Amino acid sequence: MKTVLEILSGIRLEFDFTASDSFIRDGMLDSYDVMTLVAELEQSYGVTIAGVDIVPENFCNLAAIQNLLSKSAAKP
Amino acid sequence: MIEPVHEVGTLLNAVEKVRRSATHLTTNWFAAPAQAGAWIGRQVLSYAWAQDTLLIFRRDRDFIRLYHVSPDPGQLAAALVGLDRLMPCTVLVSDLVGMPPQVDAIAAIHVGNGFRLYRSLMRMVGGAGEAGADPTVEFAGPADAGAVAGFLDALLDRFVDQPPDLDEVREAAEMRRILMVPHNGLPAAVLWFETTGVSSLLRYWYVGGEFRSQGLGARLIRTYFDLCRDLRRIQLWVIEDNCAAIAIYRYYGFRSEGLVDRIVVRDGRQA
Repeated sequence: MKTVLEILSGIRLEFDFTASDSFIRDGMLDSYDVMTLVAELEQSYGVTIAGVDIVPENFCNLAAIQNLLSKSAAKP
Repeated sequence: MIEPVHEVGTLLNAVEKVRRSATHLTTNWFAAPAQAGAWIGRQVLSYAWAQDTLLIFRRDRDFIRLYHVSPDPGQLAAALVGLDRLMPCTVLVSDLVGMPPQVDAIAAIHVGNGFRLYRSLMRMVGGAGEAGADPTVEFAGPADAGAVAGFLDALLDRFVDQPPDLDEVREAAEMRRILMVPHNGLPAAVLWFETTGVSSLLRYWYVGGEFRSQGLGARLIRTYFDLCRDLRRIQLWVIEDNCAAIAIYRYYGFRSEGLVDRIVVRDGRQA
């Protein structure tokens, strides 16, 4: 299974995602990238991310994405 | 029935509803909540359901930009057929962004249901190339907004380029996002950019017809690159068959990233 970091690096190869705590503010992901990321996370982790959770704050850094994955996995 | 959108939450919940029933979700709705909120504030967003497909409409000048969130391509096709009853006389424009095999299939569904392929764009990316601030290049100020808006309006395609209105130009000028080479106080060449963190979007880069082949474009881009020295990524969209523009972008170090935007238009029927 790909790690979140590997998925992010696949979307935007040129950035170091470990060096930012706000991917959106730092211009590392745009809204199209977020939708791509959602699709890849769902496929890799077998979760469904709720539409209401597809907001910038849930994708702003690695910890936020991990939290979102945990929350999405816990949902029936 | 078409209803105005009053809250971002309405859209988020509607998108969620489609996603839950989706087998092969297809969408061209990528607006961040803040962007959607701004459109709601301007009262330009509305939506309708076509069975399980969510259609979102954004009024733009004299036409409507159409977005879809559909559980699968078959249901999208049915929704597009229904559009003919829902708004037969309105010009509809849809931006279909994605990678070519998938996005072309969605474009084909539109073309099979009353739309025509209007333009294809591709995204190019690069880093700052030959940099050097040029003394003849200056930031447009709010007082230049009217002239810049007029300059761009004469050059931009309303379906493709999303021409900015006067308020948007004024705001961009205040944020020092517009470079220009003036001639007798009016813009002879303009470069508009939008920088966020370590990325920048080169939105417009134009030289007025009578000022071409005088190096104004090069002065603008070198000055822009100078502003981008510490950035990691510069991106732009270019019409896919505009070989001259693509050659210039390649010269400055840009390369295609694979992402495309198929712009499809449905002409309104005569009332």
